[in-house]
Amino acid sequence: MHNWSIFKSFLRISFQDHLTYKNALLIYMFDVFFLPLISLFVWRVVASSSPQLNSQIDSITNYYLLLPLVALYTSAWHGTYLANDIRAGRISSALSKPFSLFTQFFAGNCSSKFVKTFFLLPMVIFSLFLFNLKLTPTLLQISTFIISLGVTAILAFYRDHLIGLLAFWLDDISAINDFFDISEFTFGGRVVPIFIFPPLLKSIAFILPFRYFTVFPLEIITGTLSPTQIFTGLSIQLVWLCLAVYATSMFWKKGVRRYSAFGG
Amino acid sequence: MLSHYTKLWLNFARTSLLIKLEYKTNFLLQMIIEVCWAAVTFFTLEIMFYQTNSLAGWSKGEVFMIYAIYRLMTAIGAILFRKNISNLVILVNTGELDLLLTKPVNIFFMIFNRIISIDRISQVVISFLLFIYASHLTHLVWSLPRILEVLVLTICGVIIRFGFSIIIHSFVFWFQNLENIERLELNLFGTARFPRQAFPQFLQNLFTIVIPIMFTAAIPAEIILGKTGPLLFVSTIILAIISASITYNFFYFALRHYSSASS
Repeated sequence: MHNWSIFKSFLRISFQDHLTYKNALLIYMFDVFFLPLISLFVWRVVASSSPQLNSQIDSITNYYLLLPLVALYTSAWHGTYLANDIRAGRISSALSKPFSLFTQFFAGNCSSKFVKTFFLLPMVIFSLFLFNLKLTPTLLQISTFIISLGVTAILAFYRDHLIGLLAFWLDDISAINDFFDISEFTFGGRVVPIFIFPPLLKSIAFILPFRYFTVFPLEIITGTLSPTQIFTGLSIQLVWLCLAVYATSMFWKKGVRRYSAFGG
Repeated sequence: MLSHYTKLWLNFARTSLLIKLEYKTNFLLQMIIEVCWAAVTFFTLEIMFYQTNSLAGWSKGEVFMIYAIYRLMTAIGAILFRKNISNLVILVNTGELDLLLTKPVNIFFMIFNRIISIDRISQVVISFLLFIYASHLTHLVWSLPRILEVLVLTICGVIIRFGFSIIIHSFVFWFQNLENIERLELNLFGTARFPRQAFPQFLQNLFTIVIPIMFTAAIPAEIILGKTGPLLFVSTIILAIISASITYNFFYFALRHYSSASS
């Protein structure tokens, strides 16, 4: 109960913080929609000259139209801030407080997504009309999409938190951040949908973990996965989530011990 | 006067290089990351041409030529201006601009030339590799006039693109929080990696006439590959001159709205 009231307080503070910078949110809205929309125009031209791709044009359209929204809910960005706080010794004060840094960042993440949803929705609705979205998901796809979206969001948050915690041992985590960004852009399906990859690259993307941190819910709702692939994917996501929770707890404990040992 | 500014620029370049060499690992890592980011677009284009032989009438080699030009312009801009332009937001919001305003140097020069990001040189190398790859695919023969043509178009493209960047960053004098503006600009100009014919007519007009994005890669590629007449070549030069003038004047207009952030 106590933790919940702290969480709610952080949500409120972060919510007000975000609303202070409305122009930044407007820029965000255009930015997050622009790349998928441009990609969609280009891929529709490609599909017009490729019979194989043309048969998947609805899936491709749905994919790019929903990508900004799914990308918003499955994104986390606090790792860099956490790393900066660790390096600058600013976590010392947080350690003495009756709430965890994790709660604070998590509340910030949730409120930011809540506020950004209102800025994204007009663009989503506009693009749905523009491209005439044809989405007819089954009940199984809808229910597994919701579950997977929640799991991916938490997984992405843990992944970013883990990267931030590496600052206890490393001077600069930007290269690791870049590595994840590059991997998610290529094998995570953030630029090109995995279902249109050549067979070999598709197999590699299925083995690598990156799609489970990003577009897996999108693949479910756009109907590009069979029920077996959906349940296999969800199981893999849950395994990654358990590993991420365990690793975060371990990294935090060891990191704080190391931090104290250096007199931080 | 000119030699004074040349000396000053060389000093900035030397200082920037020394700072970068202080952190050799970061310097190398940055270079590797640049190569990886270039590979992301390479990867996208390869997948695209796995599905089709032509994109809006452009062959694989021709599209790679656009990408090579895009990379070259981005690289030159990244070395000379990118960091300085991003820093404008920090200078204004922290009030550090006060200090620069007191220097007996042209403030436009001072703000946009202080940092030379020499670690971005790997991007230039990548661009040349892409030029070789695209030339091989398109059977393009290189001659002195063609090299000069590329040089002129690159300079014009850099002026147009980074002029636009300075203009939108100058809005910091009115709106303090512009943290996403750089990403928006990157994505906006990323459109020039594709032929303009790949977009509907209204977007072609928007990205050519209203915001001259296509002049920063797609149109130069059309000129180099002989897909268009000399009119667009002359238009690019004129546009770059107009763009430079608008950028310079807009920046000074925006600067008049600066109120120091420090006490």
